[in-house]
Amino acid sequence: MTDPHLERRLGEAFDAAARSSVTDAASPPPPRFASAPTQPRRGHSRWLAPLAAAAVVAVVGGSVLALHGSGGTRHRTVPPAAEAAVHIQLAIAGNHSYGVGMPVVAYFSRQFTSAKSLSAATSVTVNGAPKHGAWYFERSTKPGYPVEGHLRLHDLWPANSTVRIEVAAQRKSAGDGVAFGNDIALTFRTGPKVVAVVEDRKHEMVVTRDGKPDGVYRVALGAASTPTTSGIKVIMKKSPSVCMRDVAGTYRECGINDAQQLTYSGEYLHAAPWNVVNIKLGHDTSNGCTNLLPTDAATLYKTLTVGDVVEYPDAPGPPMQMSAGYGDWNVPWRIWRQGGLIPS
Amino acid sequence: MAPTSDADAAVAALYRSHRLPLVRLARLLVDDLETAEDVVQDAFAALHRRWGSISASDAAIGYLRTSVVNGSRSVLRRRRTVRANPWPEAGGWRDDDADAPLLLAEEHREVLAALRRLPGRQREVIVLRYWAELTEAEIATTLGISVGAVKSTASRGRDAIAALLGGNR
Repeated sequence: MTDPHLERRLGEAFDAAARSSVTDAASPPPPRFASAPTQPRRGHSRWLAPLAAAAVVAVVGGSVLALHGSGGTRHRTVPPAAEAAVHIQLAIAGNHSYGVGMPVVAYFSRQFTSAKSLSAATSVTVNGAPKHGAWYFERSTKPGYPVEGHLRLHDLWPANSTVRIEVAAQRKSAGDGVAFGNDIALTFRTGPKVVAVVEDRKHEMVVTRDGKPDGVYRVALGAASTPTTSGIKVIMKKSPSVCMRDVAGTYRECGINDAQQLTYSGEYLHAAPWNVVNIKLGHDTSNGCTNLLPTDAATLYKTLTVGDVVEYPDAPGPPMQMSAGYGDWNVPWRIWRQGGLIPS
Repeated sequence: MAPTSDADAAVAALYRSHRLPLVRLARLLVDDLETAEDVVQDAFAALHRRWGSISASDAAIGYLRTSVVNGSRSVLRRRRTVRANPWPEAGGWRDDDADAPLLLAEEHREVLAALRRLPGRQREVIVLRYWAELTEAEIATTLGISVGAVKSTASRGRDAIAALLGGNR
C-alpha cells in the first residue's frame, strides 16, 4: 500500500535538500582519480588539464569547499546542443557472454523520424568479419526514453563468436533537424547455440546444444484460461528466486525458484514443486509459465543462459509479440528491415 | 589492468556529467557535503582503476551508483563505531553541519529528519526510489538484494516515515 501524498512529499523534500545543499557549481572540484598512483605525474596528466584549469577550488585540510554559494548562477556542464540531440543508451552490458538469440537493445531519449543515418553508421562484425545487421524500433516504456531499438542479423548470432557493434551516430541526422547525440559501441561473446523447443502436445521441452541433444524435460504450461503464448522467446533474465502475481492481482507468491524470464508480462521457466503431479501427468495448469520439476529447473538454471532461445511452436495462447519480451525472432526479416516505428 | 588514456577520457566525461547528481545522492545518504564529496571521489577513482572490465557507459553509471551507496554505508558504519549515538536526535539537520540547507522549508526539514532516523537499508531504498527515481529492479541491482526485499524495505521505510511525521514531536 502506498500513499501518493507521502511519496510526493518525499520526492519534493529530497529534491529541495539536494539542490539547496549541493549547488551546480560553476567549477566542479578536480577529479581525485586523476592523481591516482597509476597516473605518472600528479596533476599534470594530459587529460586533466582542461578540468583543472577551469576549477577554482579552495582546498582546506584536504576537503573541497567549492560547492556552495555559486551565487545562483547555474552552469551547464552539458553543451546546450546536446538537449536537441537524441541520446542513445545501450540496454545490454558488454563483455558478457549471451545466447545466440540475444537482441542488442538501445533506448533513444526522444522521438525521431529517420533512422537511415543511424543504420548507415552501424557496423556489425562477427569474429572480425562484417555482417549485415538492421534496426527495428518500437515505443519504449522506459521513462525519458520514448523509443526502443533492437539490432539483429537475419539469423541468430553465430555461436561461440565475438560480436562487435559500433554505431558512429554522433551528430548524424535523425530527421527533421534532430541529430543523434552520441556514439555507442559494444562487444560481447556468444555461447553455444542452445535452443529449447517446448512441445505442448507432448508436454516436453527438448534442448539442443550446438545441434546435439542436451536433455528432455517434462513441462506443464498455462491452463486454458491463461494459455502460454506461442512463438519464439528468448531468456531475458535469470533469478534464483522471484515473487509472482497473477494479472488480476488476486494472488501473490514468493520463493519461486530457478526462474528464467521469457516475457515482460511474467512468463518464466521455473521450478514448480507444488505442481509435480500435473507436470508428470501433462496437465496444463499454470498461469502461463512453463512449470518444471524442481531438479529439472535447477539443471536448466545452470545450463541455460540469457539470450538462449525457447520456442513454443504449438502453445495454445496468442502469438508472442515483439514488445512482449525479446520477441525479435517472431518478426520476419523483410518486415524487420523496414524499421518498424521509425523507417530505417 | 592499467588504466589507459581511453579510460581517462571516458571517466573524465562521466565525471563531468554525473558528479553532481551522485554528490546529491550521497548527500542524502550521509549527512554532510564533505563526506558526500569524498564518497563520490572514491567511486570515480574505483571506476577509473577498473575501467578495463566496465566498458559500457551504462554499466559504469550503475557501478558508480553502487559504489556511492556502499561507500556511504561504510562511512555511516565507521561513524557509528565512533559515536555512541549514530542517529542524531530528531529536529532537523545538525546545527554544526556547515552546509545545512538554511533555506529549507519546515515541511521538508521534517521529512529529512525522519529520513535520518531510518535504519541504513531503508534510508537507501527510500532515497533511491524517491530521489534517484530508480525502478525497484534498478534498486535491487544497485543494492544487490532481491526485488521482493526492495519492495518490503520501501514499504517499511514509508511506514516509518509516515509514523514519524504523524507522531508527537
